[in-house]
Amino acid sequence: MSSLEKGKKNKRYRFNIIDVLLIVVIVLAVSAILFLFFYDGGKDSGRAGEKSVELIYTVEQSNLTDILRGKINIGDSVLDSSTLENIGQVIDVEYTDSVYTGFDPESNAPFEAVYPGKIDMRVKISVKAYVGEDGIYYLNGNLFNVGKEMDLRFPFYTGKCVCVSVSEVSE
Amino acid sequence: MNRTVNNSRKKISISVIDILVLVTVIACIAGTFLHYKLYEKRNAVKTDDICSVSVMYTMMEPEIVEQLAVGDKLYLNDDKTEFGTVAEVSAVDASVYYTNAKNEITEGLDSTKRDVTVIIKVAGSVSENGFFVNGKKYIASGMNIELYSSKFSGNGLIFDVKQQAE
Repeated sequence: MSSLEKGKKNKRYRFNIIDVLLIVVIVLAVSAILFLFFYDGGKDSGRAGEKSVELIYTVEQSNLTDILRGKINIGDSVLDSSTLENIGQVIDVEYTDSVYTGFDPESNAPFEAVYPGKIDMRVKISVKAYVGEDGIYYLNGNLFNVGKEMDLRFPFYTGKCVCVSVSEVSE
Repeated sequence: MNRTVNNSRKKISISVIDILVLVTVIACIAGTFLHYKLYEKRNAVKTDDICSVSVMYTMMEPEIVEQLAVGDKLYLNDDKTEFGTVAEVSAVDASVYYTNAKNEITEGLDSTKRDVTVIIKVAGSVSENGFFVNGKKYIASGMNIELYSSKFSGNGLIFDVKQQAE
């Protein structure tokens, strides 16, 4: 065997610390890119012990001026204004006259009367959510129950509403 | 002589590490190019659709109302971009609510103030998610909006957004 052949046989690629660092950096960079592109926060998958349920919830907005009547349609998608996540689809809209309670000094008794020019609006929305073992509902990873104030966005209407009822759709 | 022979036979050997580095650099350059191309597409100003946006201003002083005229350009107060052009202005005596002796709320009129409806022609894009001014800013009924022109500024309530027929 010639000295050249011996040299070739003995010559091996030797890893040094720079090569190791480069590999680590490349692996981290690829992992970060994959994470940014594909991780959705796990919000739709539910947490351990949670069961997927179909909910119908009703939101209300009170004392609206009458000119805002009729801006929401059945079938409209509903988004959370702050996160722009979908939180259901409209299945019903109801408008009623706003009512106020006053006190009549003559009869010394309270009374209820219609507030002129004002309406109350209730919107029924269906959505897929999760219920935990404790019976608490979760929507897009957030606690969801009656009394929750919500900033909602519909295609041609937006406003602050409060959730007044939640029920599960029985199969 | 041997050294000359060795130099002439010396080849550049490419290792796996070199290939990895090269691929990563090419991927970064391609990714940056793609990102900016997508960013441009997403942020392109879209003005294919024209909508009539109706805004209600309540309890305005008559002198302020006089500063609103058809043809005026209106601008958004939050980002100073152009919103649209006034197409129609109509003013009526302001509605007010009084409590009578029986504590009942009744509606009346205040002739010293005005309720003004301004219809504004606005360019943007209409989609299933609603109307976006200049393709970017979502507006809808129920929203309060601060607009100004060269002679007027006010905070009104959007109560109608209607797409114009083409």
